[in-house]
Amino acid sequence: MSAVLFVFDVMLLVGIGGVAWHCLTSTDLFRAVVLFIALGLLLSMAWVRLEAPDIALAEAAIGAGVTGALLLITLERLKHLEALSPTGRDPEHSTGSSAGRALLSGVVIALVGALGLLLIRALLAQPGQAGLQPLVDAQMHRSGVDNPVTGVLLNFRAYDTFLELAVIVLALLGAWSLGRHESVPARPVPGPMLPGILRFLTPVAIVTGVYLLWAGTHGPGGAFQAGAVLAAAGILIVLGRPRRLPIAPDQPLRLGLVAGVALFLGVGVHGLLFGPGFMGYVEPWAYWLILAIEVAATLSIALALVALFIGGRPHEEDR
Amino acid sequence: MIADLLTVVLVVAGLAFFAAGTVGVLRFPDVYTRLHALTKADNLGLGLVIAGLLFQADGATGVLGLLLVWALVLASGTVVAHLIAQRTRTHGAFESADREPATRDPEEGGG
Amino acid sequence: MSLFLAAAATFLLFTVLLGLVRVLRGPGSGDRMLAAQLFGTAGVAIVLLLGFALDAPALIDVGLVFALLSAVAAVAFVRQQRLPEPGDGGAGEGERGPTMREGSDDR
Repeated sequence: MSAVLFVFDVMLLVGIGGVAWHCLTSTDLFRAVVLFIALGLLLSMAWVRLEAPDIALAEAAIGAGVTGALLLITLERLKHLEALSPTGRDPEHSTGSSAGRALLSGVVIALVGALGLLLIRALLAQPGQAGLQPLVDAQMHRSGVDNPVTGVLLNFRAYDTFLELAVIVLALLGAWSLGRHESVPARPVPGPMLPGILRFLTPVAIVTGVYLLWAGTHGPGGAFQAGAVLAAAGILIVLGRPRRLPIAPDQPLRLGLVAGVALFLGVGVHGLLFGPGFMGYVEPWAYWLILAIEVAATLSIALALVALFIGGRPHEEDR
Repeated sequence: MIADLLTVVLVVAGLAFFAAGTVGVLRFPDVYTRLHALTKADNLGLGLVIAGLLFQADGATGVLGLLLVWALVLASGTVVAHLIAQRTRTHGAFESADREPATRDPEEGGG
Repeated sequence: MSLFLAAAATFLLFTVLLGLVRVLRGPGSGDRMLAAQLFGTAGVAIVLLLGFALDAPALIDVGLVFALLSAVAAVAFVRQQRLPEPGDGGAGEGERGPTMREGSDDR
């Protein structure tokens, strides 16, 4: 059995390396994007083999799905911009002498090789131990949930997750600061198939997202995974638009985006005021606090990812 | 015992369809024929594999989960194949470079 | 049984890595996307087989998400207008569907 799994792992490694190499060296951008989607799926399988189904869920949802759709629409906008103002620059023709490039490549390969060897040596020199699992298992009864991953993410190391949510909001602010949303009309798809499949997929995606949120308390799942799947549902709605985007009302949108971070911060300060310290939960309420934070975080992540997919700031003067 | 035997038979049949579908995707000359091969792998390959795994599932939640995945892939796979074919068709009757370009549809405009 | 299911997953992974050759060769965008679809569906099968081989029933959820997200990527592909095809000159195709927009670049 372990021999078969070893063969599986080796093939997976070769596949990941090969696909990543082709993705990075592809001159055709669309091919690179499709290879990136395939890479996301392969990486998700690697997480499955590393016995981390939570991360496998997140990688499949965010890495393969949301980022794949995002890259495709970016490619379209690049072509749109090029069509408006062609730069005349041939992307295949790089500047610099070939000897200079060969030297640079050699240096980079040598550095990467040295880093790789150092990492392997560090890995082999680790003392054999069970890691943090015994510590976490010993404290799980105080965390309020059954899934150790959720317990670590949202209780023992809640501060890190709080900062991750803040980073997502900051990323959206960065994207919004670059400009207003400019709608590029979608390719019209005649026939009933596209609306039909969207009518089928969107509710399934929403229900799956809510299910993953609920399942996160006692199994693989959680706020990030649920938020990513709900973002996929939102992307389906955005892709199905007949002429232009439905404008989201401004205030509820902004409230929804910061709800995760705000609630998390509120709970953290509440802990500071009422006993366990910053980001500590009063113990009998731990489960409900975690659930509330996860719901708010899911909403924020989903809204932020869809807003990143749409791109620019929403138009305010078009109301 | 019978369940294990059924699983083995069904999963092997599913793998055969996946292999046939992959060979088709690699060897057929045209987008449309490759889509044809793809949908065989999608529907029959995955369908037989899931049918085999149904005998290994424990409890109603496992069975329902597998059936839900099957229904989702069936529905989305077939529609996606249609949409890809339609896009290739209306994009300009692009044909694969492996054979002669077919005559263009007159109502698709010049160029 | 676990051994058989793990071997089936391995065989499927090998088959599908071969199918990725179609992504590399194309030549059209539809070819590449359909290879990605094949990969997504085979990924669902691999993850389900692994779930039963490694006794991890949560992997059914991972398979569900795989299926969902490869459909989303395909819908995003079908809605893009200007993806490159071999045979494009340089500035990309205008859309050639039944409706023509003014302002789109025609060849």
